[in-house]
Amino acid sequence: MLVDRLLSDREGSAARNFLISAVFWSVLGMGAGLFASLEFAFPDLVHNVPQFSMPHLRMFHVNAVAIGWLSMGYVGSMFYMVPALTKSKLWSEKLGNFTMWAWNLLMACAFGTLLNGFTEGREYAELGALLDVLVVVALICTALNIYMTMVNRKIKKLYVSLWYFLGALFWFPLVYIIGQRTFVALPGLNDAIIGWFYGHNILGMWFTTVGVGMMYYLLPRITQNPLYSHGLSMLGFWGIALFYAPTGTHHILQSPVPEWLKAIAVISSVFLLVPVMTVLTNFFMTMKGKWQMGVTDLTLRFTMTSCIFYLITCTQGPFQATRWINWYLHFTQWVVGHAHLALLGTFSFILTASVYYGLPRLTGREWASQGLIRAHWWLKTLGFTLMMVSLTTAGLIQSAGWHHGIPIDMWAMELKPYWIIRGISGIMIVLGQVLFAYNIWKTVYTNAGIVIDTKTPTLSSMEVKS
Amino acid sequence: MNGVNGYRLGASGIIITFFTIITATVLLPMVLFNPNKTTSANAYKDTPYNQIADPERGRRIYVREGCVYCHTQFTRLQDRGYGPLVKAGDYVSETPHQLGTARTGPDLTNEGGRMASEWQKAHLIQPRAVKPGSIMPSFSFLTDRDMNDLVAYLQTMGNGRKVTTYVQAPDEYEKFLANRKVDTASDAAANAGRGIYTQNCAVCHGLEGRGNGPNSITLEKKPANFTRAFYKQYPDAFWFYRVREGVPGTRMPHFGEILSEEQMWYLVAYLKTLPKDQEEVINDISQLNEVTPAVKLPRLTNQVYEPASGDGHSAAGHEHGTEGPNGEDPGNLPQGNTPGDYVPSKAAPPQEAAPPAGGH
Repeated sequence: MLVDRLLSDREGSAARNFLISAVFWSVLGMGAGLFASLEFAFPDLVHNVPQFSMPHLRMFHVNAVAIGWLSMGYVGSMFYMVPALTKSKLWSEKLGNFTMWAWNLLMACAFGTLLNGFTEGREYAELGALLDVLVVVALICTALNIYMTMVNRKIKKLYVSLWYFLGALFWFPLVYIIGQRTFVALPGLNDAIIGWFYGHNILGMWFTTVGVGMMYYLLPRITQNPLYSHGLSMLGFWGIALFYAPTGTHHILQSPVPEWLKAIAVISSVFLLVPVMTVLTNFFMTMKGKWQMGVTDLTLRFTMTSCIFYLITCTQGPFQATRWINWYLHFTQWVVGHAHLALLGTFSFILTASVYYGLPRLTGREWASQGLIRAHWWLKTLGFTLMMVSLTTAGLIQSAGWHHGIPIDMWAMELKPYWIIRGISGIMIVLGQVLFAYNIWKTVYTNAGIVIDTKTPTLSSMEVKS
Repeated sequence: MNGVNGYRLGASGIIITFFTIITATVLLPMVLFNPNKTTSANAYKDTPYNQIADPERGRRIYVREGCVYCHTQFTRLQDRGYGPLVKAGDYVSETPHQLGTARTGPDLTNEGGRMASEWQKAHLIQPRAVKPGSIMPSFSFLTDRDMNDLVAYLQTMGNGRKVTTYVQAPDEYEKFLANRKVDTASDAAANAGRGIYTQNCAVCHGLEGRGNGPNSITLEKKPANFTRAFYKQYPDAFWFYRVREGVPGTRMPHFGEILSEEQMWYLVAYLKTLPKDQEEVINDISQLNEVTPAVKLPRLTNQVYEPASGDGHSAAGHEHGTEGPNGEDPGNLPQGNTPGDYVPSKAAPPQEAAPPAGGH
């Protein structure tokens, strides 16, 4: 039956399908980002094609990488990590596969609508009303599935990753519902306050919480070291829960919103250093004695790179959220660089590691090519570093221009070399992602993937020491 | 935290923390923060502009085309040249908000009235034609109605200035104009100016005035292309002002220190012969000495879309707004093209005199 094929209840199929769809949308999303970045360097690249005008590409780029690539990949990762950590099967593979189709439908609609300019006009919440509803349905299905798996768990103790997943699946649907403002029309600044509550918490209560949970899963697993401290991990979790949610207003620190709200945002932004440093101490101490593994184990290498970028992005964040630094740096490409450091440098890397770790265990096939994985790492790391350097430098030039009150016409042209460098970095990153997708295709859909024994590797036990 | 009770504690902790934060940072601002609408707010919903084109629809196009990704709509204390600081009450009717987070282009809070509507429209069609070096995408795919509405919206932004004049020469130039001894309309004067041009200007602006002289290669801000139709509307005094005092922010020197007053007037006579109906475009060195078909720009006038002081202007503007200026014969000189119309109005506040970008 077709329905049985589409809504398979084979163990691990939902996770596998989610991860593969995520990679598909990542190629499209990052490709759109590359296209948009080339239009910065060569503004007359396309004419008279509204779908390819830079703002439309950007809308799709942001939504495809955030809702498509990262979110779908996160759900896929949770679908195999949670059963492994609870030693029980996923509550319903059928529901999981249904969620996967709903999500893909939503992304296909996003592709059609955003490129044609059907937008709600709110940064990071561009999707139209129907698609918002679809996202919420998909999120609730996911949450139900994971929570029920958790209820049926065979290990009583909850490992820290599960804390993060549980928290994220409770917070994110609520944040999303609050943040869309689809059926309400608020006066401008209140709209902005809620908009940035959402805009920052899609990061804080979803990308960070699930991403860090994945790091907690992958690091001890790959290195076979026990987690350094369970107590520190709890401190980190509660720190994020407490300090992340109110920081949103630091995105509009210089607009006429109430001062007390700005004060809350700035203070909690700086306090974020506490959970971040706790989490990273835990990671780096867990790595103790195993750093050399990154040379040969490419999954670990992706995980380590992600942790290091997390350190950089979370040092940068509180720094630029303070009033006087924000005064200088806001409105510039520095911020764009920072956003990419978090979403591309940190969370895209950890998700990539999770795919490299999870897919062989879900499909029972070893990766077709280690060389392609190595090429992916080099292209993505070097490409991203290049992007970060060019955007940060461009941002500092812009900052100087705004700060000295020099009209934009007089310094905008100085940025051209950096736009070009960013275009080159984008080509490297997208190329890496295409190799990634090609490797997946070869492994999963051709005979090149070497079949390995897969008795019950997804459910193998996880050492939890505390 | 052991046993099931420990997890119940944890779960209620998550829920309580989260709802406390939502109360503090989402609900509380809704209750406490309700600024009253100010008079400086953008009045796109109720404005005389909507007799000409629909600014409310224009705002939807602004949203649809994603202008917010590169243009902000709030001025800050440290911003210079973007008009008065915004107040909380300015945003009461701004839904969805278009505050923006990045300035790849300039701030648009007080954009209304800064440039003439026709300039705005030309800028939407081909930004680099009126603003060299800009990286704004071309929005030439917008329909004429979309573009008119969008421009009408842009013109409502900020403190309701009206475009009455382009950039003006300082008042003292009326004195120079009164004292001039050269008939700048005569062929003889233009011929006399040609030699002066060749000796002093051609090295940057090129022999045909296309802005492609040898020196232009090294200049970051390219010299003006005098063949652009835009320059037809320059009055004599303004040409004289640019020649005498140069162009701020560029390498254009003060020729007042090199040439005599009479020589500069001869030069003006020659410069006035350079603008063509269609600009001759040079993008890079390989195109030197080739005439390429240029973007056909809308004719520049200074009255379209502006809620006019008199009824006659309003009616004229209405026609432009609905029909669009593209269909008009670009060979016609704009209405306000005679030098007399360009005598600056003394009452005009200084910020009305915005420089035509790329107009040097």
